[in-house]
Amino acid sequence: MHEKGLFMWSKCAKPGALALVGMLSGAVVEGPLVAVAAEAAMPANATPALKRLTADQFRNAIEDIFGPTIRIGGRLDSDVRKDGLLAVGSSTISVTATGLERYDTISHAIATQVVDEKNRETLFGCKPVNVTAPDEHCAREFLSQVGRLLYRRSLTKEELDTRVQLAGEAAQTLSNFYSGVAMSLAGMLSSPNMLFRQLETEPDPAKSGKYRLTGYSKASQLSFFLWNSAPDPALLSAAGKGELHTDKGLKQQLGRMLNSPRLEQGVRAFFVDMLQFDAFDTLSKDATLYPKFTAKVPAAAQEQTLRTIVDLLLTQEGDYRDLFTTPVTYLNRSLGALYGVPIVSDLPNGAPDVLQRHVYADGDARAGILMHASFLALHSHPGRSSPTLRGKAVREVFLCQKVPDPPGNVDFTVVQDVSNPLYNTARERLGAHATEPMCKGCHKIVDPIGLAMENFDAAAGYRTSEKNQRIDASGELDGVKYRDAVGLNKAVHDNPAATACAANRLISYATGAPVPRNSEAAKSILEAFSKNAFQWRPLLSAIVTSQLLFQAPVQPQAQQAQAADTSTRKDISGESK
Amino acid sequence: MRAMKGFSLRSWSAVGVLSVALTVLLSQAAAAETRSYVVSWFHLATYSQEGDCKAINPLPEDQIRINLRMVGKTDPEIDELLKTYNGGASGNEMTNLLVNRGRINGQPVNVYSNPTSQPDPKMNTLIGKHVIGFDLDGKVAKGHSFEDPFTHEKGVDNQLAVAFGCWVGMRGTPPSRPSWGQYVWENLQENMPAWLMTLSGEDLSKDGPITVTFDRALEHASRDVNGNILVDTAFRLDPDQRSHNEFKGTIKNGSLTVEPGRFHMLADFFLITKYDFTNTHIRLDIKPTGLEGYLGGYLEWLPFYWNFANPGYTIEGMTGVDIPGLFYNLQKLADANPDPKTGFNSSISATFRLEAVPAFIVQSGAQAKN
Amino acid sequence: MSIANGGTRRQVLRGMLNGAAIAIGTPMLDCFLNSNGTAFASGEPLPVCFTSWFYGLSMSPGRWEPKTVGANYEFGPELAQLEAYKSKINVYSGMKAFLDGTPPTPHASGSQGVLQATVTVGPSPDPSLDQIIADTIGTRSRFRSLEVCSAGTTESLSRRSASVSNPSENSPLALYARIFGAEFQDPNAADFKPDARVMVKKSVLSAVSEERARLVRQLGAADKARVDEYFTSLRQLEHRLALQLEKPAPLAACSVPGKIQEATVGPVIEDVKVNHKLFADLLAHAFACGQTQVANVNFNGALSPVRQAGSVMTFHVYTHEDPVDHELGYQVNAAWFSKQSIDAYLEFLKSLDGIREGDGTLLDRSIVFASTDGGFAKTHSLENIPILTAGSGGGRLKTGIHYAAKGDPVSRVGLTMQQVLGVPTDNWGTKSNNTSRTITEVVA
Repeated sequence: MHEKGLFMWSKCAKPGALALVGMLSGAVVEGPLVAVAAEAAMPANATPALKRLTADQFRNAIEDIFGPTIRIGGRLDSDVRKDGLLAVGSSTISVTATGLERYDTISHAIATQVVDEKNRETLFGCKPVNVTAPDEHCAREFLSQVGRLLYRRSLTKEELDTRVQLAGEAAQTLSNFYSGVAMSLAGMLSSPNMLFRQLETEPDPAKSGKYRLTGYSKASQLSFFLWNSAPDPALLSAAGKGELHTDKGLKQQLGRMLNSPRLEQGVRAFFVDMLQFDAFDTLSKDATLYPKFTAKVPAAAQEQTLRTIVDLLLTQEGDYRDLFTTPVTYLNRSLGALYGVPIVSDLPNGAPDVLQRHVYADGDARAGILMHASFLALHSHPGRSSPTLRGKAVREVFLCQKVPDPPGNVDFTVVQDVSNPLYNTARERLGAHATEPMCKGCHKIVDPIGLAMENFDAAAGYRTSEKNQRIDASGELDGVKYRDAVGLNKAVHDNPAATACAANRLISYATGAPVPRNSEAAKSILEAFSKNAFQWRPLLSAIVTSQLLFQAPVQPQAQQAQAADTSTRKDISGESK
Repeated sequence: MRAMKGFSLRSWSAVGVLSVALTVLLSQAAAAETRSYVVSWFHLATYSQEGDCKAINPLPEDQIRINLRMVGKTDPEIDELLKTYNGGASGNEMTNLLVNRGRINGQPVNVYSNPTSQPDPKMNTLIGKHVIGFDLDGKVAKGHSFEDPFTHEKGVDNQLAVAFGCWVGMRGTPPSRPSWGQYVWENLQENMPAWLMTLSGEDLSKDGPITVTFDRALEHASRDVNGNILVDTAFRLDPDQRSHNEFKGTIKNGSLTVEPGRFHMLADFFLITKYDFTNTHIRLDIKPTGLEGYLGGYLEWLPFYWNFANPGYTIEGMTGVDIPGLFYNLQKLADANPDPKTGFNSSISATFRLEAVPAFIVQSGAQAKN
Repeated sequence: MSIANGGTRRQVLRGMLNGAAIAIGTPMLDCFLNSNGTAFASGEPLPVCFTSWFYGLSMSPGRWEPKTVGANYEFGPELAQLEAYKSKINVYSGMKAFLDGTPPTPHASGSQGVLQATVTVGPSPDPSLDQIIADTIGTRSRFRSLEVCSAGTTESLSRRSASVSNPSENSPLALYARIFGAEFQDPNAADFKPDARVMVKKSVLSAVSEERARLVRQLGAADKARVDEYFTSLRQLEHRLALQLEKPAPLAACSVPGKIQEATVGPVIEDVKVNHKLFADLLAHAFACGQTQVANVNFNGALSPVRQAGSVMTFHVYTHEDPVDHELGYQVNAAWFSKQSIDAYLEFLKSLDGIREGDGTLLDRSIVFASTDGGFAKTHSLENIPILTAGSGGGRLKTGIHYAAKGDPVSRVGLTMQQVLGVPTDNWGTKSNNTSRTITEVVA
């Protein structure tokens, strides 16, 4: 079997590398851990200037602009994870040839729906004089409004003229006004102005010689951060009027956005990214061992966790740390069978298996998001649980500590062979394996976390024994000892690295870059998080008002930029004549 | 709906390795332990062996010839008709002849609606030594004195298996040779409201008295990755009392039996609209994975007949069961509950394979008490 | 109207658009097959062809599934005859159709799950897989799709909606007349008229390339390179459209088949096989001559009426009647008919593979998607429905793989076919038959 989980730990063998710090939390951790932020030796001004929209952002934008009846099919180019987040990876990726072909196909499919008879009534503010001919006035009105939403700024005169002209030519050729507009619209949908978002700067009138983000760029930063979608007309309008440059104007928009129903979409997007749910695409479980892990479980498990998070953080305005202990969750019948919890709905026979609110009794080991299948099954092997993978994931995902990769040439036989009669439980197998000195250091810091989750098998089903031997779920996290999963949850809840990690991940998600070393801004955001009882909306607020979100990217030397521009330009137009 | 009302889940440690779902239902509120289940198999218990029929009944091909001769067709005519045979689609001349092969006052009538409109074709019935079942009448009667191949009980009554036993399509020795009953049940699993069971007693791991209930659920069962019924799913209890059954019983050496009683369950039009047994016997092994065994008694046979007669021609073409032949077999072999109006017995002894897997049962709102 | 315009390529195109009604007889590029024959010389690959090949009543559970997953699998005994084509065949096992409380319709629910990703009582309103694919790849050829049934009936599993099914041709002679009759135009001789929509699309893309200047104004070198990657992709896309505006390369492998003899149309297996082979050869020629890119073959019907001469024991009857043999562990007579299905599939593959195109064959640029109506006909089981694909669709699909996914919706295979063939969709189906999980293991 492919052993993707047991990493090679070369650093473990070097005693010198064994002391590190959970940096921003101030918590000192013994062991070969690296606080993630410290690894990224970024210059102070490393705000990325160009991000490609993620697949979800593209979808959300289309849906928000044209309404939910528009079907957006197609797989878009995949996203890339960097420094723990796809949001950071989006600053490094472009559009491949096959990717663009897909965008092009999807764009034409979307544009065709936008202009079809069902939708044109609501989406067009005007009607052409003659449906079978171009109509410049109506095309201009529609394309300028839609273009502003798609490009997230006003179109330049030249851009708009080009779009209108294209719509006219196409309408002429195809003898249909709407087909013409659809062609022009499709071009905008797959344009780099749509697919990439660029942070544009302008001289800052308040600070001579300095640059600031344009109002429109600020609007996009806000909107993609809080809603994971393009700015709405109100936000663009505020940006166009320069209101985002004033404290009052910014606060007004921020308040509006934090109370918008779209905030849920944004919060979900962050956690989907942070919890690495994209890994579900390739997750599989051994059917013989885990017959309850049906095709419906992966989607339901992710939804369980997201609903739990949204309920606690947004609806209840609760404490982030309570995610690790909350007895409140959402389950459907499939998940109920997996966890051994009775879940029914009041819908008729054959109705979809919807999630129901469920509250666990005090002391139930299944409480808290670490004990969801979205974590336990995701960080397990297809045929057996993995205390090591789970422990590593707790450290990396929730505490932002990088566990070094293991060295090569390690013999994993003892860990992998679940049939060995000498070692009935994972604890025994790991105990035998981790006696090797070069492995010991790292196992010491991850296994005691994962072993507390051993009451859950690789598919997150509950068990009390393995091969008839009672499971000992005791362990330790950074000096806090516990007897079982309930204790682990509490230890994570109380660990200062957990809240620091959440804040840092969110900053990094907002800016698209790792948090700079010793960032004062990051420190005060964490303080604000703490002062506000670790509530989520105040944390979002603190990041927006910290100016980290609006930090201007490095401004290239004007002349250099121009020179580079011309040379590349030649390259492009030369070939495509 | 008050989903969790009246429901109590034992602590984790008590759930234990068995992972058996535990509920406290109204009628068993006093019992110390209740386990609940969803029925995963229910089909006529067949045990077909070589030589247990004098002859196997004709295959559809031969039966069609016999029936066409019966309506006066000559062999060359039959050969011509067979050339047009299209698998049983309607509108075909041969189909019409076969469907309307009954005669009342010399006029053709639908033979499935009027099974006695043709003479008894005297289809073969089982003559072997074994049928699976129970000795329902306490007699080792002549003519149908069978032995159960597993319990070795003599005088076992399962005339339904005898009636069906010599049609190839109905024969089976599960699990290696699935039978018609399994095929039908397989079709219903993701559609028909599931059947639920509970066992309650002081300590179900020990010998002692128990109560067994059967009810219908409001939802169908779902399947696991391997196509088996998903264990530990929750079901709402259908408050319809017509499918509520309760038996007093005993556990001995990990198996349960009950005091005979009536068993009445609504089923599905596709299978049979209802099962109505009197003198019901149950024998189930209690295993960590669920319950496995048999339920037998005197089954009202006319609903069973109509289940075959309604799709009549399709069934004949597909399984070879001659529908009027089946009617005569059932009428002849019926062995209980005489009907003074017809002079025939209205029930036939029958035993069904019954399996169930652990499940949760939740009271639906209308019935929730306490 | 005043539109700033600096004499860009769009003007040239505009001229072309205005002249769209005039057939352009002269190709703008040399269009011949490249040296290995898999593509036009200009780089445009030969069009992909998709066949939905249906056979009723499945096979014997446990006897067709390869024992190992991934590459280098070994066929089970009921697929053994496909050995010579193994490197071009994928086997998909373990997947099912979900009823979700819908009463089952024996021999229909399963194929609905496979071909429409839904299960309904009565015809489903959703289009079938072949039609979804035809809407993407088949729009430019003479026939959007061609349907045939070799079991003597006009039964077809191809549908555009609940009320519109595409009836099958059951006579090879009639199919011949339809394709190669009076209306047939030799694709290599005909005049060429460029598609106005493609012209407009190309013009739209050209306009996008003018957006670069503003975009890169403020970017550093690394980000500029990323933007230029986009524009490189754009140029490739423009290039592809430009090729579509040119007269297509001659279809070197196109030849008109000789007139065929009338054969008996009916359910007797010997006739069914003869007719199927005639259909296979005709469809292969139709593909090779660019007459269609999508075909539906219904080999023996969902409720298969196929039988041996002089017998009324149809395949369908056998699946229910035939006991599972105690020693062999399967239904001997039913398995014999299943073997006829797979033999016929092999014949179909041979017909496509027999048409050479450069270094490859017509099969290489095809996907022949074989599906059935269930997992075990005796019990009408919808579990573990066997699916096969042959051909890589011109390199879009990895081949020689056994993919197993227990309990997953079988619609995953259909979704994957749609995606590799360019249908813009990220999910397919209703309720539990809905899936967004591509089988990435077979996507090239």
